[in-house]
Amino acid sequence: MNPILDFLGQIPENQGAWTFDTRGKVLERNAGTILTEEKIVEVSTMVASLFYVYAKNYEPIMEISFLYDNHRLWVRTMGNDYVALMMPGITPASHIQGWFNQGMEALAQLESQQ
Amino acid sequence: MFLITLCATVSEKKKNGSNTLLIVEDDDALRSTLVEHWTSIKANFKPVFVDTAESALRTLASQSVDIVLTDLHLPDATGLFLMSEINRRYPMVKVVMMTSRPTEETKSKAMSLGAVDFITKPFDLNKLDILLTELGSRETTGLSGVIKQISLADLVQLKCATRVKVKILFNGMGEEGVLFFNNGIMTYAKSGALEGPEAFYRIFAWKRGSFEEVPFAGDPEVNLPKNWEGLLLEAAQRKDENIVPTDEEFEDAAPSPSSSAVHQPPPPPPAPVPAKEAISLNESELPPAEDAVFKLSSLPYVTGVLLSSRSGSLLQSNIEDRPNKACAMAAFLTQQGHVLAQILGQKSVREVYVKTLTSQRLVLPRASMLVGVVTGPDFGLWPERNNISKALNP
Repeated sequence: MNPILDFLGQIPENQGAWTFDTRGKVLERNAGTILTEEKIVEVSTMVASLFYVYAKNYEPIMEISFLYDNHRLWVRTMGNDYVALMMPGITPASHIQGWFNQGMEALAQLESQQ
Repeated sequence: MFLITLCATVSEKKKNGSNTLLIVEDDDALRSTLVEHWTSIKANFKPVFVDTAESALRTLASQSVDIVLTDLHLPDATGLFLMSEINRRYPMVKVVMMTSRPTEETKSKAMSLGAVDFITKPFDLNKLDILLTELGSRETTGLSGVIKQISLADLVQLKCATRVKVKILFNGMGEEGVLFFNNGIMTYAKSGALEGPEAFYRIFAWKRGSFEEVPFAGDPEVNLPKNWEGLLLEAAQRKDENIVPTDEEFEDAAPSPSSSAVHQPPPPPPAPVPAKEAISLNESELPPAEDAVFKLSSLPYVTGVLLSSRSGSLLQSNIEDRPNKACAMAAFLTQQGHVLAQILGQKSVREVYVKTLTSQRLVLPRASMLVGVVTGPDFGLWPERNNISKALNP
């Protein structure tokens, strides 16, 4: 599994993480996701489309987050792809951003060792 | 005036309880039979007889007609031609085709061009009456008209959103194409020899063309994945990446003069264009929302604040760089957030956060407005999130 997904999958109360490409095609997902495969495909397509439209009309997005009553969806660019994380809505945004930063650093270290 | 006239027409029709039936038939014997029959039974519709396609179109142009009963073979044109013209010019008119030499191919063609029924001569007059009465009582609802210069992306979204069952024929760039829609999904695409997603990408790449919407019966073939949003995205990206035929690869044909609508291949869905110009923030006598915005703009780490309508019109902002566009994008983000909310089974989006190379933006939907807060890209925004809330809800 992708080391980032491995890392995010260990976050307590995480509701799922997955990666997808610029076309919205789901690449990998961790086992903990509360979303069905169909929902993940729908969400990925929507978000990939949003990244594309925003970049086309404004500027490229590095991170995006949507807060709902029960969930917070956080998506971050990872090279040419995207990585998404679903957390409970009450999770502080600063924690999620921190976890992503840690995950990216861990990935960078891993890549430098290789 | 318009309303009064319309009401009078409807009332008169209800009072008389009759529909106007236009019969296009050049066989004198059949015409006589029909006249005699409908006179004897005191038919509940007003028949008008003509013998050519041309006179039929003239009649349609000069008076209101509810149903057309036309022969397949007319002296000056085929019934199929007449039907396609009626369907194009008067889509609310119901057309019944009749012929003495039916073939499956003709029947299929007639139905695909919009015939509501197909009858074989000689026919039972009582059955014809039942059919005409049923058609006359069938409600025709909705608006009809002509839309010009609509993008294919918009057309696809419209047809999927309205969940209609429809077939759309495309003509452009020297090619022909067809798309089927059924119950909110784009089901089938064909363009020249291409079928499936590749056919859709091809049509999407056309620079110009026309389309015609035709009803169809039966179950449509399926050669596209259910995820039509993904197809649109892929088509837009392929176009941007030039993975589509160039002009030279298309036979450059001018659009048909009889086109009812023209589509141009679009960029991806554009953000809404705001109407108002930027207004400077002023501390004096601000209503509550604007007052909150003013307080936000006074926070030291906030580099910009905007107040926008839900549709993206700029209400107030101190953002110097493209404030109208900033509002449009805030509205776009919120709209997308609501679409995701539906997928995730949530009521509404409460907050959208975007980080780019140059800034961080927080969009907060509030009643009928959107509040946007901009900070630098490296600022630790989240520890200050409560202060932002306090400024908005003092």
